[in-house]
Amino acid sequence: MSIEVRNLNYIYNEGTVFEKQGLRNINLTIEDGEFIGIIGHTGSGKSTLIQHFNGLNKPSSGTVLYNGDDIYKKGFSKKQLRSKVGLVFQYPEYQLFETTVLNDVKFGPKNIGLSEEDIDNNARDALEMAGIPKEMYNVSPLELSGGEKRRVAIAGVLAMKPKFLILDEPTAGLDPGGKNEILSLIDNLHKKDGVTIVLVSHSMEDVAKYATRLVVMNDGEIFISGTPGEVFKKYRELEKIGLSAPQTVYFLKELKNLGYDVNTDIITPDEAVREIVKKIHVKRI
Amino acid sequence: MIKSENLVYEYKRNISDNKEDRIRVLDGLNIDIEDGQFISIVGHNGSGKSTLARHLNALLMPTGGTLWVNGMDTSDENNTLSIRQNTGMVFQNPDNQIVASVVEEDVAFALENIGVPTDDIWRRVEKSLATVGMIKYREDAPNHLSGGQKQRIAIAGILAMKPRCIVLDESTAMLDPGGRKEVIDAVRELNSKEHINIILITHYMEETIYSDRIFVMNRGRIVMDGPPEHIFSDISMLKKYNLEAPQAVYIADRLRKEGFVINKPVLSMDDLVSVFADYKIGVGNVDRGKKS
Ligand SMILES: Nc1ncnc2c1ncn2[C@@H]1O[C@H](COP(=O)(O)OP(=O)(O)OP(=O)(O)O)[C@@H](O)[C@H]1O
Ligand SMILES: Nc1ncnc2c1ncn2[C@@H]1O[C@H](COP(=O)(O)OP(=O)(O)OP(=O)(O)O)[C@@H](O)[C@H]1O
Ligand SMILES: [Mg+2]
Ligand SMILES: [Mg+2]
Repeated sequence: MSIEVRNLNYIYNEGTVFEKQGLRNINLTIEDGEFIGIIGHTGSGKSTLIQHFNGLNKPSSGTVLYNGDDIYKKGFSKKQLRSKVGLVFQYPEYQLFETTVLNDVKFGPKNIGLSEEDIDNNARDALEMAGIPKEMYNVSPLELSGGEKRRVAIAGVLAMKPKFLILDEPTAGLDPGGKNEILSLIDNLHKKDGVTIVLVSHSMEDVAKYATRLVVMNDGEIFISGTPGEVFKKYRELEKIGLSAPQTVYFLKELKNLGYDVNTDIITPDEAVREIVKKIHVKRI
Repeated sequence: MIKSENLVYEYKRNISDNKEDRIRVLDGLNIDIEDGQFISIVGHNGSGKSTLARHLNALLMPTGGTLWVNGMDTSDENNTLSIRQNTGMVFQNPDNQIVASVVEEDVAFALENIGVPTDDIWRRVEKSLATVGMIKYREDAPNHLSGGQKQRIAIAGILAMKPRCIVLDESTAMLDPGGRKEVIDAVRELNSKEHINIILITHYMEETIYSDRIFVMNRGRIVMDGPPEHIFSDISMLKKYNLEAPQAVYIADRLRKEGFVINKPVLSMDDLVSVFADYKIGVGNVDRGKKS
């Protein structure tokens, strides 16, 4: 299974004075089992791009293939596609509209025609996974705090048990504990259930920790793509386009400058601690 | 100056068709914030941060206890206008806060609304755009700016009203690393140069290390209140409140557990680097051992 984007261009408000090229000549294949991190400055085209993966946006030119099939071809079922490719929006407000939290989460599975029993089970499981307490199931989603809305929006997509899970800044607004829970939940879906993940994030630390491949967007184009290690080596170029490397990268660079013999390819705090313990021996008192 | 005595807020919520429940979201807060302070507020989702923020400019009024802003009781509607003029709010989504199609008009918008004379408006607009470093974008369209730039425009709009206090409710949550840094640098400067009160609500612990005090909220209460080095000295406590320490603090803590002796207080990566630098030149703050 794969999602493939070929020679994709996307123009907002085409033919009007507000015309604006959102994406320019994008070529990208997401293979089964990948965990892709998409990073890029605000307005670089991340959200515009991922909304092509489940057919929400229609390319101005170019194609999007799902398992080799053109998703815009006549007869291709968008509904089927959306049950396989789940998308969590950047702003949960755009996704929450039912009268209660539980109904909201049931909406997706209902829409793809699951049985009553499955709908209910999936919804409750998903809410539990996303950390929403039972007392909130019958509350209106509009009366929740920012982070609570975010969790409900995530649950709504998890309840469809998609094969591809696309998340647009899913941890923005979550408290640190919640952020770690949601990220390890996503990591588990990837590792245990084989779900393919696309994570859009402004947190360099999060993509460094979890992604197998990074796609860096700049001004509507793919700037570079590679493993997190490869990408964050180019931190100077990243800084020029509004990004940075994880803090760990700068820390190890500084240690190296001080004359410590440490590996500067390391990108996460835990690896950095291991490296320092291994390399920096200070006499025992 | 912001002060409260036993501040309580309860939302009404329909729990079933005809049953209404009151949920207490602020549970007896006693706050005392002096002028010119930089306060960060952290806490789990639903702990009451935004509800508290909405009290600071009288968008919400206490259902119990009293809150004074600049000596004015926020429950008294005669004070509302003056409180709003002195307390500016910046929210999470930069797009929702921009109203005009030209940057300088956007900054002027609120001033026109409160009847500031025209000459004065343009002077204030110019000064506040300069303060946030956006003067060269004054004639641009806001929708061509980056998220961090939009947030700085929003801050400029508030500055132009000459408030004594700016409340930022997760204003950096949707920004790229560059934009986040821009906004934090801008508010730090406003605090140190213009002595404007800053109330920074955030889930990014790294952003709080520059503040005078951090409030930790938990289930509607302030459970910790102190300078960053105090708040981040107890990582296991923070975990209980669904929080974590900044990365440099985390790394220093892990290294200490591995037997490194780090005596200097560490909050930022720079602090951590300087610990290792000291050791290199023989000051010797990094030590392995004391185990024997
Ligand atoms: N409906 C629209 N009409 C016109 N232009 C738009 C529209 N939506 C987005 N754009 C523009 O397209 C570009 C890409 O936007 P997009 O939302 O994909 O960026 P992003 O990388 O997701 O940014 P962020 O990190 O802020 O979410 C931006 O310049 C944006 O201003
Ligand atoms: N309009 C409302 N009606 C009823 N309850 C509400 C309303 N707004 C918020 N709440 C509840 O009040 C509690 C506190 O919400 P608040 O928005 O102050 O939290 P917060 O600390 O800002 O959380 P977050 O970090 O998620 O933004 C939450 O449990 C929320 O569900
Ligand atoms: Mg986006
Ligand atoms: Mg909030």
